[in-house]
Amino acid sequence: MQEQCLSRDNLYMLPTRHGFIFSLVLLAMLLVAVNYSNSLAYMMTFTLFSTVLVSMLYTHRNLHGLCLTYGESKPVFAGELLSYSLVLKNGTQRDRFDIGIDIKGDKSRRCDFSAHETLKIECTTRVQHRGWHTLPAVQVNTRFPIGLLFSWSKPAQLEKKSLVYPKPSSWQDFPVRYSENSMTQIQSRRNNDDFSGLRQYRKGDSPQRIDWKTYARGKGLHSKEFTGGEMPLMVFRWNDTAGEKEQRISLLTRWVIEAAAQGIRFGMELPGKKVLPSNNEKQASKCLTLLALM
Amino acid sequence: MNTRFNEIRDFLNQIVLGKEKQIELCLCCILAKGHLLIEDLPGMGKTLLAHALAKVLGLEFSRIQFTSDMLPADITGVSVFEASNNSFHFHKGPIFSSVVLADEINRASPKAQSALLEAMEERQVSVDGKTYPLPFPFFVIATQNPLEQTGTFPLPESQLDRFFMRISIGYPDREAERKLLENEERRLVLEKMASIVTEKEIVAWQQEVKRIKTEPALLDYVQDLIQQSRDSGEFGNGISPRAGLDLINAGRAWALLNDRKYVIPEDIQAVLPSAIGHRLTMIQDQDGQVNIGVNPAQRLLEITPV
Amino acid sequence: MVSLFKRFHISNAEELQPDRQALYALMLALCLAISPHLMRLPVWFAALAFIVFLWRYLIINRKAHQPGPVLRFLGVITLIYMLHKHYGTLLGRDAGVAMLIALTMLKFLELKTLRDYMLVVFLCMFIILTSFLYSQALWLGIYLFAVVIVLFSVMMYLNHGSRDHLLAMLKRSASMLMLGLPVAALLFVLFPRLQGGLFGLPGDSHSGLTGMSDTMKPGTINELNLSEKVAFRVDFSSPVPVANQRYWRGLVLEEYDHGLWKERRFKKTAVSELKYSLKDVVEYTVLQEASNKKWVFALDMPVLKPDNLEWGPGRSLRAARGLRERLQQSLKSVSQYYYEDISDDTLAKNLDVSSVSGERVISLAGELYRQSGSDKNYISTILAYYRNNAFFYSLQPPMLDEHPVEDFMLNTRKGYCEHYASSFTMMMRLAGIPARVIVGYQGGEWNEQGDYMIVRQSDAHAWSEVWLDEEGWVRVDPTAAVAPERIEYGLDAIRQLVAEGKEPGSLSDEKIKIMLQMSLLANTLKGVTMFWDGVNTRWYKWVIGFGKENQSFLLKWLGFQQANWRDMVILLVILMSIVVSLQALLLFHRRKIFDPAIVQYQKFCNRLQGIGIVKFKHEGPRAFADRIIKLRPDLKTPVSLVTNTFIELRYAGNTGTFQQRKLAQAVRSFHPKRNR
Repeated sequence: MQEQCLSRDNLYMLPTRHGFIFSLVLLAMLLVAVNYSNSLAYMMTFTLFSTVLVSMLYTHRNLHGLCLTYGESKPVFAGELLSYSLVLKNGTQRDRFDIGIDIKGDKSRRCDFSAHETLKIECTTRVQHRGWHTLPAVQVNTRFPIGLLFSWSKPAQLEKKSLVYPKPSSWQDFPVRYSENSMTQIQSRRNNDDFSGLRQYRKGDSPQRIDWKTYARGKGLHSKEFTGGEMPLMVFRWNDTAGEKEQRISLLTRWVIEAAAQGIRFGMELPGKKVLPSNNEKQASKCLTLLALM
Repeated sequence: MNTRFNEIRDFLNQIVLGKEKQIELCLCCILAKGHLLIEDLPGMGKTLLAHALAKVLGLEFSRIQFTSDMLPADITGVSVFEASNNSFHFHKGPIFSSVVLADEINRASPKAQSALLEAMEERQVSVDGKTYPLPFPFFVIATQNPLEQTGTFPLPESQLDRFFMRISIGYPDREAERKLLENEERRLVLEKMASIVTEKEIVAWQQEVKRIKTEPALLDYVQDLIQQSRDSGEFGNGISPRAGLDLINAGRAWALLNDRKYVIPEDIQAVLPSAIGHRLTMIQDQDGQVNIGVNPAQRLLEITPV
Repeated sequence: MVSLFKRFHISNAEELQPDRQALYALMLALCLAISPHLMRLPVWFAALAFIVFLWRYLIINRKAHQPGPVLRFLGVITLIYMLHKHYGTLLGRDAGVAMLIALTMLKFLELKTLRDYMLVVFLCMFIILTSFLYSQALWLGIYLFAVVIVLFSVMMYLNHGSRDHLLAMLKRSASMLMLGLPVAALLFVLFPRLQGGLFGLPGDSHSGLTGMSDTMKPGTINELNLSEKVAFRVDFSSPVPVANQRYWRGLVLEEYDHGLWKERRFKKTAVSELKYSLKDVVEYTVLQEASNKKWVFALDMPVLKPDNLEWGPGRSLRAARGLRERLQQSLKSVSQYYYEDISDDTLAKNLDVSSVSGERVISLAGELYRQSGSDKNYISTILAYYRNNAFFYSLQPPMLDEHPVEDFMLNTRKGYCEHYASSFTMMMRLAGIPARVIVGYQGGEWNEQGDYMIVRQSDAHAWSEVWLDEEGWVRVDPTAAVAPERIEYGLDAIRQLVAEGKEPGSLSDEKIKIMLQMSLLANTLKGVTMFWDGVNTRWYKWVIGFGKENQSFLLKWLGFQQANWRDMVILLVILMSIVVSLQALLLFHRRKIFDPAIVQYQKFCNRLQGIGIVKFKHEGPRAFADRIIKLRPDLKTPVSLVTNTFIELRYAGNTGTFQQRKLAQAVRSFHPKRNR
C-alpha cells in the first residue's frame, strides 16, 4: 500500500471513557423519564442519545478521506539517523480538528487540518541494518467532536521503504588503480597538477597533502586539493577485499564514498554484478544501492 | 487589433516557414513582457526567428554571441579611463538596447550567463557602484543548444525560472522544407523587410493584456494545476508562485492574440507547455531513473480536470 | 500548502487540563442549566453559589487552593444536613434536585482534569432534565434545549476548542442537535411506554394543583370564579353548541347538611340508560388540566362512559385517580335526552329537607306551590320570583345567617350561581319536587387561532336539576333568570357591568354587545394570547400528552394490531437506521460550488455521452467542442451555441439571467442522435 486513504474499511470507533460515563447518565435520565412518565424528559434523553449517534457521523467524517503517505526519503548509511516525512493530505473542503497521529516508535502528535491542507511531519529514526528499511506503521485517531467517541484507523504499514546503505568501514587505502584506456597500473598517488583549494581533512588523506601551515595556525587539519591532469579510473572488486561478507561490503562502501567525493571515475565488480566505470553523479548511489541490497 | 496581429503573423511566417504555433508563442511572450528562451539544435532557425522578431517589432536591436571565454563586461559594458578629462567613462555594452538577442547562451560560462540574467530580472545594470537603467521596453530573446550537446554550460534551474517561456522550434514539415529549399535565403528576405510595429503599439498592447479578465472559475483551474504539480507526487518541484503568475499572464496574452477579452482554460493549456515546461521535472523513481517518455507539462495537463 | 511547522499538542486527552476559557464557559452553562430551578431552591443556595464562584475565581488567580479531601467531606456533610433540615427528607423530587445541584456546585470547585469537566457537563444535562419534572411548558423546553446546545459546545471546546471558533462550535452543536431530532422523534414516538411509573412517584410530585372542591357551601366558589386559570380545553369534532347549551357537568351534589352541599356516598350500580336521538350527539375531546381531583367534566349530558373512566353519582364522570397530569379524553354528549334515574334511594335523597331551617321560607314555598298548581308551573313561579323581587347577581354577596336559604330568599337577595342553585334546589325540595345541585362549568371561550374552546376556572358554575315525572331529570339554571349575561357572555360581562356601575340583568342584549366590544389594541392582545394558548395546546396535545394510548393508536394505524416490545424495537431500529443513513449521505455529500452553468453543461455532456462522445476530464470546453465538430460536423451549430454561451457565463463573467436562460434553452433543445 503506497497510500492509505481512510474510509469505512479501515476506521474503527468505540466510546471513550467519557462516552461510557455518558451512557450511564443517559440510562439514569431514561429511568427518571419512565418513572415520571415525563414527555419532555423522554424527549431530552432521546435527543441527547440521538445527538451522540449523529456525532458518530461527525467523528467518522473527521477522519474519512484523510490520506496518509510517506514522502521521499534520502538514503542514509547504517547507524545514522534516517529522516523521513509522513504526508497527510486533507483532500476535502472541510476542516478537520483534533486529529491524533501515532507513528510507531515516535511520540504522538495532535493537530488540525484546514481545507485542502497537506501536512508534512518530519521524523527521524536510527537505522542499524543495511538494505530496505520499512518505515513504521501509522495510526490516526480522533475524539472529535464531543470527546465521547474515539475513532482510529487500522495501523497502516505504508509500503514505503527507505534504502539504508551499508555502514562504511574505517579507511583502507584504495586498491590498485588503472588508467583509463590502457588498464596499466599507475601509481597509487593522487594527481597533483594544480592546487585548487583546501578542504576538511578526511580519513585516508595522504599526510603529504595535509596543509601543515593551516594546522599550525590552529585551524584544524585540512588537505590540499589538486585538479587537472588525467582523470584516474578505479574499479573496486569484491576480490580486492577480504574477511567476512559484511566487512567486505563495508570496505567497498567506504571506497565508493571516497571515490565519489574526489570525483574519481570508478566502477565496481561484485559477484554476479558489474557496474561500468563512470563519474556521473548517479554512479555512487548506483553502487551503494547494489551494496546495500547484497 | 486582430488585423495588426495578422500582419505580424504573416510577416513572421514568411521568414520562418511552417512554425505558426511557435511564432504565436513568441508574440504571446512579447505581449506579456516576458523573456524568451528558444532551445533547439543548431541550424533550426533559432537565430533567424529571434532576428525576425526583433525586426518586426521595430525596436533597437543588438545581438550578443555567447562564447565560453566571454566576460560579464562584454555584456554589460565597461568603465574606461579617459585621459582627456581624467575620469572613468562608462561604455555601455550590447545589453543596452530594447531587444537583445543572446545567441547560444549556454556556451558562455556561468559568470557571463548570470550577468545577463541579472539584467533581465532587474531591468538595470550595476557597474562600479553605479546603476544604469535599461531601455523600456526590454526583451531578451535567448537561444540555446540542447543540453546534451558538448561544450555547454547548462543553465541552472534558478536561471531558467527567469525566462517567461521556453520554446523549441523543431524540424519543419515536408511542405515547408520544400519551400525553404526552393526559395532564396531567408536572411536576405529579412534584410529587405521593414518593421511594421511601433514601440507605442507594443506598450499599448501590453497594457491591454493586463485588462484581460480572469474569472474565478479560471483561477480555480490554474490553482488546481499548481496544486496538482505540488501534491501529486509525480513532479520534482511544484510550480512556483512566480511561475503561476507567469502562466496566468501568458494565458492573458494568448487570449488577446485570439481577440478575446477573457481567458479560457484552453488558453492556459496552449501556453502551459512553454511557460511551465522548463520549470517542471518528473520525479525520479526508485533507481533514480527519470521516465523519459513523459513530457511533464503534458502529463500535468492530463491529470488535472478542467 | 504544505505546512511543516505546525503546532502539535500533547496527545493524552485524559490528562488534558482545560484552560480558563473552558472554565468560564462551563460556569456559564451551569448557571443557564440551574436558572429554571432558582425560585424553587432554598434561599441559602445563593450564598452557596456565591462562595463557590468566588472560591473558584480565587483558585483561577492562584489566590486560593482547591479544597482538600477533609474540607470536601465536611462540605458534603454540611450540605446534606442543611438539605435535610430544609426539606425534612433527602428523598423525593425537590430534595433530590437540590442535592444534585449542590453536589454539582461542589464538584465545580474541584475541577482539574478533562474528566472532571466532562462530568460537570453531564451533571448539567441531568439538572436540565429535572427541570421538566416541574414544568413542561413550551418556552422552558425551547430554552433548555438551547442550553443543551451550549453544553455540547462546551464539550467541543473541552476537546478541541482552543483551535476552533466559538461560533463555529455553537453552530456545529446546533446542527448536530437538529440532525439528532428525527431519531429522537422516532424514539419518542416508538419507544415502548409504560403506564405509570416504575417505582411510584414521591409524594411531593404534584403539589400546587388547583381543582374544583367536592363540596359546596355558598362562598367557596367565589375564589375559583376569579381565577383566569384554564380548567380544560375542548376540541369539537361536531358543531359547537351555543353558549347557553354549554353546561359542563362535573359533580352532582345531592346531600344537604345545614348549608353545605356534598356528593352522596355512591355505590357502584348500573347507571340507567339515557334515551336520546343519535343525530343530537356532539363529539369532542377534552384536554383537562391536572387538578389532583378525579372529576372529569363532560358536556351535559354524557352519553357513553369511556373505558378508563367511571360513573359517579348522577351520571357524572370521574377518573380512577386524581388527575396529576393533563388528561386527554374523547367524549360524546347529547343536549336533548330523557334521563330516568330515580330509584327509591335517589328519590329519598333528593327530597331530603331535614336540615332546612326557617319557618318563613317553608311557608313561602308551600304558598307559591299552591298558587302554581303543577310542578312545571312551580318552577316558572320560582324563577319569576327571583326576577321580580330585586334579586341581584353579585360577586361580593353579604354573609348569610344560620338559616341560609331563608336569609337569601327573603333578606339579602344578593349572590352568585351557588346561592341561586342552592336556594332554588331547596325551594323545589320544599315543594316535594326532587332536585339537586350540579357543579361544573358553564360557557367557554372560543379560540379562533386554534379552533378549540378554552374553559377557565372563572367559568365555574352551579345549577339545578329537577325531576319531573314526564320529562325525567331536567336542567334548570336559576342564575339565568337573574343574570342572563352570565350565561350568554360569561363572568367578564358581569364584571364589566359592575365596573360601570350597572346592575346585571338591567341592560338589553344589544347594549351589552356594544359594551363588550373591545378596542383594537385589546383585540390584538387577545389575538396574541389566543395564538400562544393555541401553540401551547398543540404542544400539550401532541408532545406532552403523548402516552401509551396515543402510542398504541399510532401503532394500530401503522398496522401493528397487537404491538409487542419486539416488534416495536425492530421497527424502531429499522427506521432509525434509515434516518441515520440518510443523514450520513447528507453529511458525507461533497459540497459542490453551485454554478447553474455547470449543471446545464453537465446535461449537455451527458447527452453527448449518450451518443458516444465523452468529454475528457482535462479537456476544456472549447477543445471539446472542436473535437465534437470534427467528429460530427452536423452538430456544429448547437454545439457551438452551447459551448460559447457556457464559456461566456463561466469565463467571461457574463453571468446575467439572460445568458443563463439562453444556455438552459440551448441545452434543452439539444438532442443529438447517434450517427449511423
